[in-house]
Amino acid sequence: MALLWTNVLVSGILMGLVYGLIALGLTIIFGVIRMVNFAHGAMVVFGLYIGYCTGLWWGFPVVAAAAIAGVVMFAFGYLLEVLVVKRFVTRPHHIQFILFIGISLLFVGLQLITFGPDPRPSVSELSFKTISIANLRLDLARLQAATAAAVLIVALGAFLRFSSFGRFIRAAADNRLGGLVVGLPIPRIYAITFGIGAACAGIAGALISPLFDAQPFLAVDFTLLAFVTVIIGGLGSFTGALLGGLTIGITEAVAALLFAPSMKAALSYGLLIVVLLFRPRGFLGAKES
Amino acid sequence: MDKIVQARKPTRRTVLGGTLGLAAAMAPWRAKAAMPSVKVGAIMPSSGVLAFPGQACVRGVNLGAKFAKERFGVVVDVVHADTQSKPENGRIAAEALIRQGCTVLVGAWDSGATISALQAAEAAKVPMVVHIASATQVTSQGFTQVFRFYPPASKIVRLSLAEMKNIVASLSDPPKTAALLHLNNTMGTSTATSIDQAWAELDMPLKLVAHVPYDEKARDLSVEVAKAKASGADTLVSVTRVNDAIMITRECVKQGWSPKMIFSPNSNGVVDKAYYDALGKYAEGAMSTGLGYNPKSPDTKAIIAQFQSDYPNEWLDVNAGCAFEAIQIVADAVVRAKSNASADIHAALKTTNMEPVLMYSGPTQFDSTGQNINNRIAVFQARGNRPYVVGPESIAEAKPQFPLVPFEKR
Repeated sequence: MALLWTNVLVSGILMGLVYGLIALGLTIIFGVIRMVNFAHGAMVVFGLYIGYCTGLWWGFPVVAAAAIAGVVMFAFGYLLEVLVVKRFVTRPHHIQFILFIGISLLFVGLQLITFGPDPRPSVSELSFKTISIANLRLDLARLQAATAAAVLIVALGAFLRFSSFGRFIRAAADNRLGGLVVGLPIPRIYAITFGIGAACAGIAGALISPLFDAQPFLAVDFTLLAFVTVIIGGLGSFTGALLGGLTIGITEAVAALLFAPSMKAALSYGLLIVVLLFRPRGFLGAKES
Repeated sequence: MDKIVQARKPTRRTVLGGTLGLAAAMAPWRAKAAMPSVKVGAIMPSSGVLAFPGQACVRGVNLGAKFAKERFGVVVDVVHADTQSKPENGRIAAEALIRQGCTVLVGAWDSGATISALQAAEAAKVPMVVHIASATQVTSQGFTQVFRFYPPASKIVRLSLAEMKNIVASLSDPPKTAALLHLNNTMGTSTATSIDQAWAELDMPLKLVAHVPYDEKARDLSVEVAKAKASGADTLVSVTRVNDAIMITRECVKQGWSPKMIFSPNSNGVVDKAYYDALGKYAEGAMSTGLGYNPKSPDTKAIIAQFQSDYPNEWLDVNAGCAFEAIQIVADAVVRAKSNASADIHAALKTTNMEPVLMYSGPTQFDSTGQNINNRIAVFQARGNRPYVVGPESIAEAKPQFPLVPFEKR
């Protein structure tokens, strides 16, 4: 029984880190541009398809697919911000919501036209691989995605803290008007930030391609999952995203083992309600000024 | 004289009257001369989580319409509607199709959507031929417009477990215990309940040691499989759709759990192409039961050839096969009814007695609840990247293989 609990908890932790990875892109865009990207799930699914296609056509390993997804989705996100999103930055929130829901539906439609509705399972051997440490069996695909999530967070944190452009981004996130007054290139900062958010979504999608079959309709699930994760962890906080993901992952695992597996989703949404009631800004979210 | 001539001179009124009279006189002749036709509404989950089988059903319906024209001389005009894999959309789709003039419906694959569509069919008195949907409630709720080709979960389960019992009895080192992993939707719960009942009634030689239900939209089944593994069972009995069948097998491989037997009554997975594409060598040996086409039926080869010509990258699976058969049932009823009106088709469907064209089953006959009473099931085993019929013996293509080769040795 102890072994079962240990395996399930470790599995929950790894899955939680994967959830954190999925939520990263959403939190960076909100943290800087203050826009809630409802198309986030569709961007993750784009990454999933990149992982699927590069594996199927060229036999690329998942890490290489993630690098390709990062570059492609950065360019895509950058262009999307420059061509469409920037016109809505100062518009009311409900108009922004409708814009992103529209973009999401458009993306899902494009994926449907290109790939069809059938689930496209990964052909990577990684889907079946585990490593054993003592009696623990660790899922290699999850371990890889979890490591990538940690590396991405550290890299993004270092970029924001130590690079001059990172400081620009933080300044723009703190005070957009102040940034404009002192001559910061706010439109460029926003475009690059949106690109980074899209790249994070793409990388996450490619990294989880051995775990989830690529399918356009997953977009809604991923968007919802990312929302719950960042709301629990705290909107705009990288570490919060990771913490939120971990909380959901562990809650789901424990709920499945302690009660019934079909209670997994119910308990994670129950947790969301508790967080909204008693700590609306999430674990690590900043207090509203 | 002039007056008489003037009176006989054609006026607009006489021309119009004459034309109408001529048209009225010609109408019966035209109706007799033209090929009978029927507008069929096909309700399927063409998008959403059930899109994979839903699209297969659409292919089956289209092929069925083509075949019915040649075989029965009936023009089947199909109007497709998509439930988006949401049960509540069954009713919306049915109402829309009825408004478009469909006088008979076919569908809806998912039990929840089927029941929802039947409510609309019942209100409008439009018959519905249910090609697939196994929940008992489809024919137990008193609907008068339902004609279900597919057997209810309880019957499939009973027949499946009887086959499983035969297989286990023939083994020198039979499995002793089983864990049941099942979906918690309408179909999954209904099938799991039937398994529990039939298990005791048939006095199965294995002991059921764990019940693990899971959500249809589950993203991860690691805990569920860990629970089943922890029960110590040496057989996995699962009730699945394709996606979760793939996830379960992946988790079994990752967690180092190799059951001696994987047996999935009334389930998708082993019969679907996606299962083999995703699992490769790990698919080998798993068994499932359900309806299947009869490899020994006289038309089967020609139908498969036509299907492969129309859809070169797809399989004629159970979804497409049952949808195909449903269209033949409708065409047969239209021919016998000599009408495409809903009431006439309904009356004809009630007296259906036809040998299935493609599927393995006894003659299609509906009882007072609308249930086809002569269903038979086939047992499939995944072998070399496709399912083989391994039971019953009369249509078997191969003998069942047992036990499964452990995953780590593949």
